[in-house]
Amino acid sequence: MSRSICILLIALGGCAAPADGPQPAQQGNATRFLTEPSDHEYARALGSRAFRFPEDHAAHDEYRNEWWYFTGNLRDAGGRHFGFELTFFRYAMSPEPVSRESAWGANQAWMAHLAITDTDGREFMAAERFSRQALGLAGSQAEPFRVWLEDWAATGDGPGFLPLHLSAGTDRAGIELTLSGTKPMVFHGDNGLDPKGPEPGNASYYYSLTRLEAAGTVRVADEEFAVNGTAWMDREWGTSALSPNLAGWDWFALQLTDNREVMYYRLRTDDGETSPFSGGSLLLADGTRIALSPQDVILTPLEYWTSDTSGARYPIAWQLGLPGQEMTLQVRPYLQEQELNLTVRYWEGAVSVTGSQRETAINGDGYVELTGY
Amino acid sequence: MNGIQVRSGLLARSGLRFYWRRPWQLCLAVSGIALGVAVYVGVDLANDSARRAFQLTSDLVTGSTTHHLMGTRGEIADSIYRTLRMEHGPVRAAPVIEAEVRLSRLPGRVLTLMGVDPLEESGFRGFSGFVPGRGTDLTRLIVEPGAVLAPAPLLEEMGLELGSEFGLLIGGETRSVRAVGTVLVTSSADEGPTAPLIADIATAQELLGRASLSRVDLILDEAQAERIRALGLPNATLVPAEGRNAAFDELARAFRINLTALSLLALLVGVFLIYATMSFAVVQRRVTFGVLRAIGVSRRQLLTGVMGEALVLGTLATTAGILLGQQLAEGLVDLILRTIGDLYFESSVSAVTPSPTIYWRGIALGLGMTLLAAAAPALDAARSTPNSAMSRAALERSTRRLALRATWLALPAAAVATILLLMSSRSLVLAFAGLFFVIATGALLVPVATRLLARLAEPLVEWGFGISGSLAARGMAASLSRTGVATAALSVAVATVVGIGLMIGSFRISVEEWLTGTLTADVYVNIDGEQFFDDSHRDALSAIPGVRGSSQTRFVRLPTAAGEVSLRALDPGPDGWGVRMTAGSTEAVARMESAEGVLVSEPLAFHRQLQPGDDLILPTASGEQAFTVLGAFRDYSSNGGTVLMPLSVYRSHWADDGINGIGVYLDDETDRETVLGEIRRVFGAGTPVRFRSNDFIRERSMSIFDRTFRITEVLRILAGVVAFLGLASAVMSIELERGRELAVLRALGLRPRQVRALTLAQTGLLGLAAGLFAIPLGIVMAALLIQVINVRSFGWSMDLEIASQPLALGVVLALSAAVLAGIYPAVRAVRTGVAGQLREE
Repeated sequence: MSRSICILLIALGGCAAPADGPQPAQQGNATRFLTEPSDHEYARALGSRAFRFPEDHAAHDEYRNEWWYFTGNLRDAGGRHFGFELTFFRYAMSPEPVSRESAWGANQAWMAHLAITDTDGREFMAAERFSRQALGLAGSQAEPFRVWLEDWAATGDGPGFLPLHLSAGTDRAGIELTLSGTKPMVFHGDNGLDPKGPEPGNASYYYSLTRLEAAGTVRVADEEFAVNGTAWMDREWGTSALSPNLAGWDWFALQLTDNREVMYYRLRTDDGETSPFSGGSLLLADGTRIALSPQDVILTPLEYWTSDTSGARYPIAWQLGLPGQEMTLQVRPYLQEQELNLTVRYWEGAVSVTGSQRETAINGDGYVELTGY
Repeated sequence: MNGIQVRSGLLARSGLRFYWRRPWQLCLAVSGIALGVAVYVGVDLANDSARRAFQLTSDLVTGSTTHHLMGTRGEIADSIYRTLRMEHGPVRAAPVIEAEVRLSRLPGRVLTLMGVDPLEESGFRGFSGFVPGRGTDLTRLIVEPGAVLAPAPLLEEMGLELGSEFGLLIGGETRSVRAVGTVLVTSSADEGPTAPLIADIATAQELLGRASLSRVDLILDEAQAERIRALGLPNATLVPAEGRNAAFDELARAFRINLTALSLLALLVGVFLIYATMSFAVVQRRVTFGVLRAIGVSRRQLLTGVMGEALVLGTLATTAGILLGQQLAEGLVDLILRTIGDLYFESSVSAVTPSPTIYWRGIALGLGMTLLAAAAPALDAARSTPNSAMSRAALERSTRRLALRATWLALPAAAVATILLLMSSRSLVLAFAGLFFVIATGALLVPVATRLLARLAEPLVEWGFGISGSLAARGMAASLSRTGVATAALSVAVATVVGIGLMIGSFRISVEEWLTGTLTADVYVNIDGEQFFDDSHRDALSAIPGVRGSSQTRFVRLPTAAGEVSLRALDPGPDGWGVRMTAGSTEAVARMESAEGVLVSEPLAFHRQLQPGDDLILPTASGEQAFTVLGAFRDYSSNGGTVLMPLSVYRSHWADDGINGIGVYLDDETDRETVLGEIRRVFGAGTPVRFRSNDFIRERSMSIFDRTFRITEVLRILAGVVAFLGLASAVMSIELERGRELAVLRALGLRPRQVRALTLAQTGLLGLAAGLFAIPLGIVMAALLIQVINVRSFGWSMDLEIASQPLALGVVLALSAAVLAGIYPAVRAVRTGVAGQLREE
């Protein structure tokens, strides 16, 4: 879900933190800003939607927030493991476009995050960028598909959405990956309408590509590695706001070696309880979706890690049980230190999965996002 | 109770009794030291506050920017910024538009409008302090046309609240803007100077009617900078941030140097004041010390006792001095900041926290000097036999020897000064150190010169005042132990006042002469913004009857690797180029006319060490090109750099026919108003043209000059007043102490009138001596400030003009301080009964 890393921050908190640089004073906890009530003038996800592609791959400026979220686990020929996260966030600063004389005039702001995990090198690199949607500095288009912030981009090759080329880097690290599809698109919630709270319209449109084949290169400290692996894409837009009593969320996107995937997000209330609006999907090898409600999932933290940088304490290893499936999974990070200490601070990292279902062993990789800690 | 305790108790009691019987002496001693500390602490605190205010202002404008990308014509295309971000890897870049605007509500006020992209500002400037609940919504700044962030004090001054609209005067039109928030500085939230108006880059472009940027600010390491240089972006030059802000920094630095010089002089005045006060307080009790020694007080006990007393006195006075200095600083800070505001932009630093080291330095000065001043005479008293300690004659003999020795010390001091000044070809610190030694040399020569003067003056004053006069002259020469230091102190203080006065006067005259030489046209017409005149304007102007000629100027700012330079391309009018050469041959101007090279302003030549024949690299339309420097000309218009070249040369290298300044030369007999009307008609009403007469520019320039030096003037007067008060008190205590001597004279038959005359003649002589010594010392100081300090600071040369007024003022100041100090002792000496006075000792 709502890995909605509060793009709101852009507007409310001000400016970007320099990548790898000193932190701004009001760096914050994402959720604080998501509790701001949404403006009623923005379009809202009120009912089920007849998705239209390729149009829906591009931005929906009338909704307040939107994101394109890519994560994945990669390995080189020798088995060296890397994780990556590349995310583009759009945030509308006004419901309607404003007519301006200046070419700089804009009502859409963009933020992008890039994180690369080098498990064997025990390195984690995170960077962010900001830009307005002006002068062609940032934006999105449906056909051929492209979403970009400066030279960080996800670009479609031809008329279809896939194959998709991801390109992003900093002085320290970068990725050049081509993603191609192997499984059908998944619409979460009620045919893609995913409620975030009891109020009507406090919801988002949410679909995923849960298994993408990734191939390309990872650059870490001036060294390039040819890699292959599996990636995941989340697409979500809406004008939702977190209910005031929510503290944050724990999000899991797990890709099992038997070609099944588990997506589950737990919304946590201030007193640590699970919100009834938590939810997810279990996707079978043939693409069939089994909806997961909070009652279907038992989450138990196994291990905590405290960040030296922020002092925040994250539950980074979990046991995720699906009693209805007689399935138990242990989720452990490839590297403890996968905290993105950017304008918005959160933990998002590559994880490995082990477990069993009715005596059968299960393995896999995945990504976990922890906010509000 | 043993004997030692009795004797040290005696010593303490003798000290107490001494001050108990002479409360005025205690007051004078304390106030002398306190004033010395106060002047130093006050000026230094004010100086420090000003420095911090500058720093904050500068940080706000520059932030942590390391480089600027600047266009060759003062603007840079949006597309270059886009190219930089999109195609050249990870760079941290922020677009900036800067322009001066006026407020329609406060028409006299010039303000900087700064257009930024708030999303890119983080890490550049301290604008990221816009947090929810503090009245600023960043999205409104970006999305709403006309939204600005205004300095809170400015809103207050205009009587507006957040959300109010107000007008900006831009290019002759009023544009309405709305304050959606205030400017905050996160780095030092409460002490920040209120800065420019901040707008989103789109809003700034719309307000100013332009479609380009002023510059791109970058945070780069050297490798990244090299990479960007290698791109060869069209019409864009990468400039180090210090270079681009050189103009601002130079001005700030100039101001600081000015203040540093004054603070140094305040320190000197303080040192002398304390020394004069304290050494006198000990010297006059020699007899008592002799008696104490005679009854068995040991040398060590005596020394410890006197130093302990000095410590108590010093602590008391230093505390008072620091408190007083703080009061002083508050007034000064206000004045300094107003000057900064006048010169740069609205700056309202109120309570800048000064560095605590100043207080420590003040304490070190107060206590250190008090102890040092007490130590010399105390050591002397302790070392001598009880008998000779009681004799004033012995003291005077040894003082004369000391004075002689001091005179010899003047030689090495002068040598050090010379060496330092010769070594300081570019170093300001060495130059200041040299100045300090020059003053020290002068001070060391004062006692011996006093004696000489007293001898020479004796016949003269005897003729004028009779017996009182000759007594006064001889008395002054004979009582050097009491008067020597006071005279030296008075001399240094007065020399400071004289020297700075001469320097400002000389500077002013040089600026006036320069303006007269440079402003050869009668009326100057300038056009703002991106618009230009063309040759048709010139032809139309020439056709007006009464116009005898015109000049055309293209003024551009050129970014170069070593910082920005101003280029003045001139097609001169009938009265020539109007430059005064300070380096290069006499044919330099003619050679420039025949396109052999360029002339550079004196500061540019100094800062870049350019000699005639050197090459200067400038970015032209066809890439960087070397121009031969033919010579340097005097230019006070900026302490950055100006390059002068013929307009034709500029046009051939920059492929730019624009003209943004025209000088109009009128016939002498023409009716100015009529011609001005005609000229205005040529340009029409629609164009944003400014007309300024020669006189207007001259007056305006001089008023800016005077404002810049107002603070210097105030500090100079302040130094004078404190020196006056402090020295008056020192001299007064000396004269009061002579009560017994005068009583003896009265007992011998001197009439009260004669006694009064004697006292006044003596203090008057002292004042005159100090005033006279201050003249050469002041002239030397002025010469050093002009020829050494100013050149090192700004690269400006000027002619030393020795005006009589500051010199006369110096003598009058010294004389009046001394005479005023003599009045009370003179009256008192007569009023007290002779017997009583004699018994007092």
